[in-house]
Amino acid sequence: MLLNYLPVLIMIGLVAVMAMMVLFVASLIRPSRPYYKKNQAYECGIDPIGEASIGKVRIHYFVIAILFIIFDVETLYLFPWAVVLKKIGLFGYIEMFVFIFLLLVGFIYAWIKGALDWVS
Amino acid sequence: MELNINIIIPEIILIALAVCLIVLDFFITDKKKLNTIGICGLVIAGMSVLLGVKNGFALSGMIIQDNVAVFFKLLFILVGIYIFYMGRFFEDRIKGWKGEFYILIVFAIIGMEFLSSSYDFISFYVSLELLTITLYILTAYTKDNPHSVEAGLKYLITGALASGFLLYGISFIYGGTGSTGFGEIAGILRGGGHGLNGFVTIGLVLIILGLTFKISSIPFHVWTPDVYQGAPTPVTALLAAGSKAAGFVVLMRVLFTALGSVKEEWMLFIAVISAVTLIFGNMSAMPQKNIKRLIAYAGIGSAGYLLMGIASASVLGASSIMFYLLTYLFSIAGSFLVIVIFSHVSGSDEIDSYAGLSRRSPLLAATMFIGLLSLAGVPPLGGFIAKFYLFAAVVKEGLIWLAVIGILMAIVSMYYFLLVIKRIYLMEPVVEEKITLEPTTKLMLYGVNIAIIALGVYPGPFTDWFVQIARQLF
Repeated sequence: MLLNYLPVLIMIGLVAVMAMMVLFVASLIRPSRPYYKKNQAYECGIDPIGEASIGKVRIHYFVIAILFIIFDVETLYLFPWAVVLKKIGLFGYIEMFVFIFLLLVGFIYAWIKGALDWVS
Repeated sequence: MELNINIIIPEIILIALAVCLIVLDFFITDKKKLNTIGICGLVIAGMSVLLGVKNGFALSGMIIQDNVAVFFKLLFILVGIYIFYMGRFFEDRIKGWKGEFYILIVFAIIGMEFLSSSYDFISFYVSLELLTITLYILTAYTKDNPHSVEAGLKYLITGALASGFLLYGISFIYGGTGSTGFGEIAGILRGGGHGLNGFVTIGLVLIILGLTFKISSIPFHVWTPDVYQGAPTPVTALLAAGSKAAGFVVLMRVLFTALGSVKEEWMLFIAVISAVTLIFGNMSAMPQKNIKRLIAYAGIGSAGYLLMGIASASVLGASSIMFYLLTYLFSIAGSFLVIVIFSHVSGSDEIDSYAGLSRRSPLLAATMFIGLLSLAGVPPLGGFIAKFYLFAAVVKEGLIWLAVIGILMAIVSMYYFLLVIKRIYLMEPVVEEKITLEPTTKLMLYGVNIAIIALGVYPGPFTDWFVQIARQLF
């Protein structure tokens, strides 16, 4: 009965050994020369201002990024849909409009609620 | 390749409801009206589940509609109606964006509905994430309350980890069997293929571990108390009654339907998880001071009881899980309605502040009394019958030690529930002021009380029906 779980045990062992080995071997091989500039947080090449853990992050960037992803995904679905449009016929044609309509409602909602207004 | 759009009509109605609410949110300033519209929409969706839908497959076998799905869909809609109603008493705690609160609850219900009828690992994972991501947002919804934000963050981090386990497990099952459909996996495993068993075992262990997050059992139980306490009370009820039931319906589909032929591999594993969860949940519920936290630990204990049904891997086990979830829904709906009304009046969730509730409002006290005693499993109530069937199911499969642990822990649970009841009935109230209730609230409270008692006194028709529909899982 318990022997059935042997693969699980083997896997736990393998994963643990693998993870430790990779870190250990890497620490042996890699050169270690840290200096101030290298340890700095990377912010598009601009000098970082303040600590990230206590500093204020503008949540608006996040909202814009989420809105961008919505349209990104929409295009992602539009391309394969356009390729097979002839095969899926009128039904698929209408269905894509339903999809776009749902996205549009969400977008208009975000717009009216002021997600696109840049408050400075 | 068939679409069978008509099978998912209830979900389409719910999506339309969500879109309606988004649009109406701009025009309706009194959000209580939005709440009423939401309840009406849920009722319509419930009717469409009952009347209009035939059994079969939809979306190329991704979605199944069988009687199990029908039962759980109705259960989730009932949960939704109660959650919406609780929202009325919680509304003034939310600063701004009240409409969105209801919209997100509708989306969570859509996720649960799809989860109960998913028949493929892909649709299962997508609907699981639809449910979980809305719950992350809902948990952290009262932004001005640091407990709520902390709860949301904890829920998110644990949830992400559990999702990782789940996906990794699914990939192992796919690697072992070459399919993601539950029906196809069952066929491949039944046809032998013992060389693949190692992969399948790893996969099923990881999937079970990932799903313990949804049902809040060991080892992914740590979020439960903090999230139950910090989340807005209607959301806590949604987590307790809805999200847990959704976790169990997929657990049943994955383990009974897809991996039923290798049940020797997972029965013992589930039984051990169940025993540890039972002991942990009930023991840690004893010293709790906050009512939501108490119900959270008791909920971990309940997950242990429900896992007993999974561990038995039989039709009786599956049907008793459904019966338990039905009584659990009514107990949770009743007691959380009381909690939300009480905290609306007094602003407190501490157990001590419930002192003398019976003199301030006999109906609220009686609902809490019946709900908590049903959770504990006292004879004339539904919870007793549910536990009785679960014990019968595990004893029948020879897991007597598990039933013994279950009975011992039922006694422990009696202790901490009776402590609450003692405060409600025997202690002197701090504030004498009476709590007045609206007629609809009274109706909702009478509804749950009658349902709990009816399920306990006359369970026959329900258990017969559950046994009948549970056969479809195997």
